[in-house]
Amino acid sequence: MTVDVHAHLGHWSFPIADLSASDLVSQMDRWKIDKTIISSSRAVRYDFITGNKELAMVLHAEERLFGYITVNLHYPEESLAQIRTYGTDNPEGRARRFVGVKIHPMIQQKRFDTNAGFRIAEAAFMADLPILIHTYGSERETPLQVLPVLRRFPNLKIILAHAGGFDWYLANEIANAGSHVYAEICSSCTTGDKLLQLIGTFGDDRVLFGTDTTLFHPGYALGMVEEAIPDASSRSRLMGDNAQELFRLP
Amino acid sequence: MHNLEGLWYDPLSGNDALLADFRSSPHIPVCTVNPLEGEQRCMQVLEKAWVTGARIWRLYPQEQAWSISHPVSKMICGWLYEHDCCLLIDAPVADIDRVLDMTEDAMAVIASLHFYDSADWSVRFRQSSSLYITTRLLHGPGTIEYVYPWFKHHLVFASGAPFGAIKSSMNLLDDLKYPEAKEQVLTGNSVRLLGRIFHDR
Repeated sequence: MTVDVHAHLGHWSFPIADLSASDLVSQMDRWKIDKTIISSSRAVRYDFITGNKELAMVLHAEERLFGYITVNLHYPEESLAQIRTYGTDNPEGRARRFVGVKIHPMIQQKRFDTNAGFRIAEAAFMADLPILIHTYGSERETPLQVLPVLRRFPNLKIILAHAGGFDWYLANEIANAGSHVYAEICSSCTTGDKLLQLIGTFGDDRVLFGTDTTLFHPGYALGMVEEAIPDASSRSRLMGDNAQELFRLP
Repeated sequence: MHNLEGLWYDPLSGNDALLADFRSSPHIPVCTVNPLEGEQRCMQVLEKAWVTGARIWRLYPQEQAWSISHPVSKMICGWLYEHDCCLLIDAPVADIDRVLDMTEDAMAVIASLHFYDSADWSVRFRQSSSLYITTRLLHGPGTIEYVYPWFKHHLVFASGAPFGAIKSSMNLLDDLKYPEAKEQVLTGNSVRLLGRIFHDR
């Protein structure tokens, strides 16, 4: 079982292939990925309300795709409304087609450890939705910004997308800040040392596989895993079991 | 292969150690020189390694925090050009452009450019006869195919190992719609490039 917990759907402002939902599913077949959890690139980069709505329609048509509700730290009220709309079993959100919340402090140019972030964290916690937060090495992207949030909501489930990127030591620094903090592995940094150190620090039950497709080629992150952990039977937790349990996927 | 002592501490001793280690090895040593050390020391570093056979050099403007327009950097590029060497350099696209200008687009330059900047460099460098772009950071879906028509003879395989996984970069070469592309990127272009650099051997 392979679950990609970090993926997108929609247009990117680079000369790369624009993949439709059916293209994405074909790509999953090619790279043997069973389930993918995606956020709308429109929602992440421009209009989160329209993007979430578009994604909801896709999720209802593709049973192997699940979604993140993208929120925007500049619009806390509207973000809370999005969590209410899609984060519960209702006609819009259906039965857990949206299984998490996506936050991107870099694109939104606002950190998570702000009043808006605390309010969104509380709503995600109450809805039992893990938060996938983009993290890299800069002040705006640092994994350390989840610490004040975790102090207020110690049982909040938080996934550090990219695990700090090239600065994965920052993710390792906070691995023990809470028992529900997870590291997700994809980035332009594909050294196996990163992956093995994250597993060593977080434990093999709190590291998650992701690709960043459709922005990145899925083989990029897969290659890192295959090279660092050649024995397929030794990577089942990383590749899918952890995600199955965390997101309670069907 | 390059040497971390040369990058972070002393290019002269780092190059010495590297060249000694690789004297009877099939690997190709990549020496370095740091313009911050000044022109006299840089000339000493360049000439000493050159005599021992160093033909591929790497500059580290980002890691060592200097500008490509640094006068000693210009002097180094000129020296490498005159001595028919090859330069590896990771730098912003505009800085790579400056290096090509300095060397009249006649010295082989290898750069790992990011696919985020491919709209820029795919136009800027498509006429270059001397720039070789590695596949190290071309991990956008379809990026290699997008740039291939212009750079089919100038794309070379690189993984960044041990800071990148070899398999990650290999996976990018699967399923390319150009059947000859994988062989060209993995082998053909590199062999031609090495032939260009080591034509005197």
